[in-house]
Order: sequence, then C-alpha cells, then structure tokens
Amino acid sequence: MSEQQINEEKKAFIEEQSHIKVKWKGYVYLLFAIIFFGGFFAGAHSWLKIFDFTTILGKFGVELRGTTGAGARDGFMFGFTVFPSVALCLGIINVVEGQQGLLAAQKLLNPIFKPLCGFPGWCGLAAVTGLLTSTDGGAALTRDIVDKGFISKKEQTIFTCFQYTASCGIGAPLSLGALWYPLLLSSSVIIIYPFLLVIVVKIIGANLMRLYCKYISKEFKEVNA
Amino acid sequence: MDMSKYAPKGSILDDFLNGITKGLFFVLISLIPAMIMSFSLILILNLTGLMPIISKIFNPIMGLFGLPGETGIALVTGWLSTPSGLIMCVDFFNKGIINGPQLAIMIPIMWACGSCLQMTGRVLAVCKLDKKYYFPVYIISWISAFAIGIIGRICNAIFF
Repeated sequence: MSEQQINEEKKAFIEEQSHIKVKWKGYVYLLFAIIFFGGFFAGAHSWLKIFDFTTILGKFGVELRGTTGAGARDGFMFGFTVFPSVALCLGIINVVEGQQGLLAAQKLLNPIFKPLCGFPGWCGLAAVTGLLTSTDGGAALTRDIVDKGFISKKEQTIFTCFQYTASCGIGAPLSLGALWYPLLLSSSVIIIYPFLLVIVVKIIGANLMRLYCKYISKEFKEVNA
Repeated sequence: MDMSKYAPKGSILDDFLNGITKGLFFVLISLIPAMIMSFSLILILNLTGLMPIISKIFNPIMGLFGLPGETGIALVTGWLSTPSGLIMCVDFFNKGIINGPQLAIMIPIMWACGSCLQMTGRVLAVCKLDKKYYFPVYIISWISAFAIGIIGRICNAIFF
C-alpha cells in the first residue's frame, strides 16, 4: 500500500473515531453499569436494592462449600460457587456493551488519553475494551491499528505498555466480584476504590514507558532529537 | 475457544443470555483450573511448612505496602495467574490474615504485574511489540505495582 493511501485511510479512521455518535441510551446504560457494579445501593432498604449486583445475585440457600475444606476439592467447590456470579456479571456487561454503554465510555475518555497517557485519543476503543471487557479484545483492536500502519512505533510501544499493565484491570476483578465485594462491604470499603487504583496503575505504566522512550531508549531518543 | 459468536448484537435479551453463556464457559475453562491450582498450592505450602518461611521472606517487601508477608505468596501466584492470586487473597481475608482495605489494594498490585507469561502472548505478541521492549515493559509493570502499593498504603492510611 502506498504511503498516500495509508494516510488517507488513517485520516478517515481518525475522523470516524473522534466523532463517534453515541445515542443517549448509551450514557444511561453506562451510568446503570457504574451504579449496579459500584455497590451504591447495597445498603438500600427499598426497592432500589434491585440496582445492586450482590442483591440480584441472591443466595444459594444452603451451604455449598463448607469451612473446613482444603486442597483441590475445596478449590473446585469454590470455583463451582462462582458460576452464577460470573455468568450474571458477563450477561449484564454484554447487555451494556450491546446498548452502546462502552461506546459512551470511549467517547467520554477519548479527550484525556493524549495528555494523560501519551497515545492518541482515537485509540480509545482498543484502550477501553482492553480495560473494561477483555484483554484479547483490546489486543486484537490494537493489532488492527498497528497492522494498518496508523500508529507510530513510539506510540505503539507506549500504547502496548498501557494495554499490558493491569490488563483487563476492571473487567477481570469485576467478573470475580462476587468473591470479594461482600468482604469489602463488610469492612465498609467502597467497591470502586480498587478500580480507581487500577486506573492509576495504568496511567503510571503508560507514563513510565513515555519516560523510557524519552530518556533511555536509543531508538526513540534519536527520533526525538 | 471462539467466543465471538456470543458478542453483543444489540438485542437486550439475546445479549444477556449470550453473556451468561460466556460467563459459564469462562468459569469452566479459566477459573476452575486456576482455583484447583491455587488451592492445591496453598495446601502443599501449608503441609510442608513452607508457608511461614515464605511469608517471613516477603515480610520486608510487603511491609512497605502495609501488608503481611503471606500476601507475597498471593503476589507470586498472581504473577502466574491473577485470578488465583485474588482467590488466595480472599482466602487470607477469611482466615483473618488481611483486612478489607488491604484486600482492596492487593487487587491493583496483583493486576499491575499479573499473569506475566500469559499476557506476553496475549498482549505483547498480538500487539506486535518489538521484542527488545519486552523486558522494559516487564520492569515497568513491576515498578507500577510497587508504586501503586505505596499509593495504596497512603490512601488506606488516609481513608480507612
């Protein structure tokens, strides 16, 4: 492909990614997801309780896993008890994604990626997918951008480091939420606290790579000069 | 396994059911093996008496983050497989070794540098990163884990 062709395609892609249209329901679903998984109504006494993940997850009614177990058998029973919670979590996330909730998150985050993390905002879809839903989805979208030649090598290095550090750092702990949500709630720690720290880790990772590219890497030092 | 046929398409009911199917497969294929591995590992460490020794070794490092030495084992396990590391932390909480705020900061610490070998294949290789940058990325992920440990400790001290 000629350079001109790549440039034209890149322009169209950036145009498309920077002006994504999100319907209002996308924002509503995003807000719903934050409230539902954030545990804001965990302590509610009215019908508002339905907006809480652990409430909807309910109870088994019988003790499926005793307290004296150990080893592989205990591990299996532990795994068995998380079937419903992971299934419910991924079900809800799938709905939110299908109703443009993820797109809304991307639209809100796009402008802050460049100043905060050092890669262009139009990489937002790959970044948000890698953070919220799946490592492999995020990596595949990154690969797509790289293969098409849209991103410079330096940006690619920084962006890959962002993807690698705390990969799927919100989606993965969220799907295991049933294990640790009740523990945090019982010690009156807000659920979003670890998620905020995960975002901080990602920003630290990307910026350390930025510093590495600027001061240590021979290849990019020359580019800078 | 190809999960793309369960990807959301816009119909709420179908998406919900497809997501549930994805979740069930995920538990069966990824989580249960990870849990059997980590629980067997804990049992082996307990039976051989290695647990107290390892926690003593990790005490000074994890102590920097305001965490007990046992969490070092979770960190190492998390380095191999993050869900297993998280499950270990939950187990430690149930045994009273760590408290809620400590569990909360273990999540970003483990995820920052977790599942290293898996992620090399699933992220670094897929994103076509030049091989000479693999090592810097590992080092950066460890430094980030260290940094968030310190930040987490400070936040815990302020808020909880």
